[in-house]
Amino acid sequence: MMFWILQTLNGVSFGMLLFLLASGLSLIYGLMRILNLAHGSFYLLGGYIGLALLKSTGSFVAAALGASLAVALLGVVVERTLLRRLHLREMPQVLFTFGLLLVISDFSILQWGGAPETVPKPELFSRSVQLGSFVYPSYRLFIIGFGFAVAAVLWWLQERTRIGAMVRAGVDNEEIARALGINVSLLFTIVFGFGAFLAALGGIMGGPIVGVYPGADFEVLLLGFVVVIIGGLGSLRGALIGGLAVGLLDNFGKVFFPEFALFTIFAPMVLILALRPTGLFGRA
Amino acid sequence: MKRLPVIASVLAAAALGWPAQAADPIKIGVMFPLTGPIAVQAAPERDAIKQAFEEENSTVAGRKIVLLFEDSAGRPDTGLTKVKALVERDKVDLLVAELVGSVGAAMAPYVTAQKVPWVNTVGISSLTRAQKSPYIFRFAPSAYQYGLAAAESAKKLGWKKVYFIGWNAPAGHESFEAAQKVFGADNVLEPMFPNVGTADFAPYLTRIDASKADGVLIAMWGADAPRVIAQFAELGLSAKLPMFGIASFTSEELLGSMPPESVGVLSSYTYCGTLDTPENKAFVAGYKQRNNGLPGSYQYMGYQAAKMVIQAIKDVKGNVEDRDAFIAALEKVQIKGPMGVTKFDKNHGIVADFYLLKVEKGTDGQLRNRCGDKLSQVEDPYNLFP
Repeated sequence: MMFWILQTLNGVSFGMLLFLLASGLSLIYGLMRILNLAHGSFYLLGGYIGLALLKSTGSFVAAALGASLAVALLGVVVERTLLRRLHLREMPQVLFTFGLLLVISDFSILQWGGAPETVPKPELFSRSVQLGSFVYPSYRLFIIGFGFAVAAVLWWLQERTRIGAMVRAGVDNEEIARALGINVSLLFTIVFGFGAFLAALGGIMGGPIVGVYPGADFEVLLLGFVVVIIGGLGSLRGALIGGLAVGLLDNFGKVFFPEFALFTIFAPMVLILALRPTGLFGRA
Repeated sequence: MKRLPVIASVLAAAALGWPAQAADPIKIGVMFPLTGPIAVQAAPERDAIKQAFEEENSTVAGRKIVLLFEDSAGRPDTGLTKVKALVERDKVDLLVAELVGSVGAAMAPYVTAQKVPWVNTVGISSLTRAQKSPYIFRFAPSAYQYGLAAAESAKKLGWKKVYFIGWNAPAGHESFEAAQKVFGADNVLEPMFPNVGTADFAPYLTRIDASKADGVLIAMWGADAPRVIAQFAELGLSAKLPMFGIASFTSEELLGSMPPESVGVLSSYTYCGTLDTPENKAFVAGYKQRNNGLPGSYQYMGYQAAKMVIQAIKDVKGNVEDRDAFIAALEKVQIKGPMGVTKFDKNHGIVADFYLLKVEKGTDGQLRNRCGDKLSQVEDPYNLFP
């Protein structure tokens, strides 16, 4: 019994990290129709900058906030100066974000070296707790709570605020939204920056579990895409359900079919693409 | 006076016929992944090779040594292209290159066809088996070799039953086979093979029951090593079960970024940074002058491989153009370096001492490996794993 609970906790905590990453990706695509391949870079930079801030300030909260804001700023600058020149041109957008991914990947190695780094946990959650006969890291439990909190905040923003309504309008139909006087241009910048913020937050929050190292951007991006495909692009609910689904599938897959660890993630993705291409909660 | 023209023409003839070797430099192609994630280990290895030649004032047997550097970026296609440039455009006399398995495997047929002596630190078994050739000299242990050494060292500690977790890659599977040979297949419990770069080992680690075994053998490296150590600790396992890393699990150049839970982790490999020999002290001092941080196993192996090459060049009196003679000389080289005597076996694989390592915290607060028992002159086990 305990074993099942443990594995479920594992899957859910990993799923929450995926949710943080996928939510930004989904939001950006939903509103701007941009497949942001540089999202993995935002995750990576969040990890590296967060680690640097942690080393210099000693405060995990400062590191997480500082890094996410810094990367959000980068996102805003990239969107304003470069990405918006490619509005509605899908292929150039994808190529551009891919190029950005490669550039930032190499830059990280130049700046921080290639050695894999470990991120120390925040003092409050650095110990493991006893759960029945098992020992379990309290940080992972924190991540589960944190993920749900972020999901709640995002839901509230989307459903109960004016800006959320504007974003939903923009997702539904950009032209009509513009015609109604919504400053869609500004909205794009805000959403892109916010998406980057969430990805970077995932990077530093995930640091104590997964570490920060060259190649993390590509690995996490791949998982992020699986989540948005399963959950549906443009849907916050999809990012959460998709993230949890992938986290649990990944975890239980490794437990029961260790030789097919990748298969257990990608097979459901293929099924969704075949049976319901817009994802569980996506829009056409 | 009549003799002057004769003397002059004799001198002229002598000058024209003077062997070109004495003046021409020996060109050595040195290719490594200088960009990409492996660069963190490969660039210092290239520097250690440079150090080896600089210690000889870049001149061996009267000939100047010129090192030509190339970057393979860790990719087989790039690596092969750069090697072709070194051999065909730059006409190098020999290669001291590479540590990445896939690049090495791609280079091997070309190097053999071109008959260019190639000394490498690519630890893949095929270079002394399916891909072996007179021209290839592998100065890094194969997975069977280091797997066997690790398992034997663990067994010497009194271990009888072990868990095994290793990469789902040739190095992981071959280490596993070696462990099975040493402990007996029934005593290697629940072998697990996560993919390279797995983010979350918890699904694997939660299957370990500490009461059933004496320790866990780990065949994972690079970014996965600190992660598995940290996750092992946070699941409460480090208190109950010792970890034994295979090969370069706690290599010095990566210790700086390892988590504090690494203290006490054991491993077994060809290099121990704190070994107190005059040769090692000199090597480490020379290395620290040129690089940030301490040398680890790959930097040592690159350095020592270069010293083996230097000795072979001396043994053929600089005449590397006679490649068969040069190869014969390399086969016979036995020199003492920072870690004792090293040489090549009949298939040109490395033969060297392996040391038991234990991670400890030094007086300066930094992590380092403490040297334990030595396994003398470990060879690639062709008899057990042909």
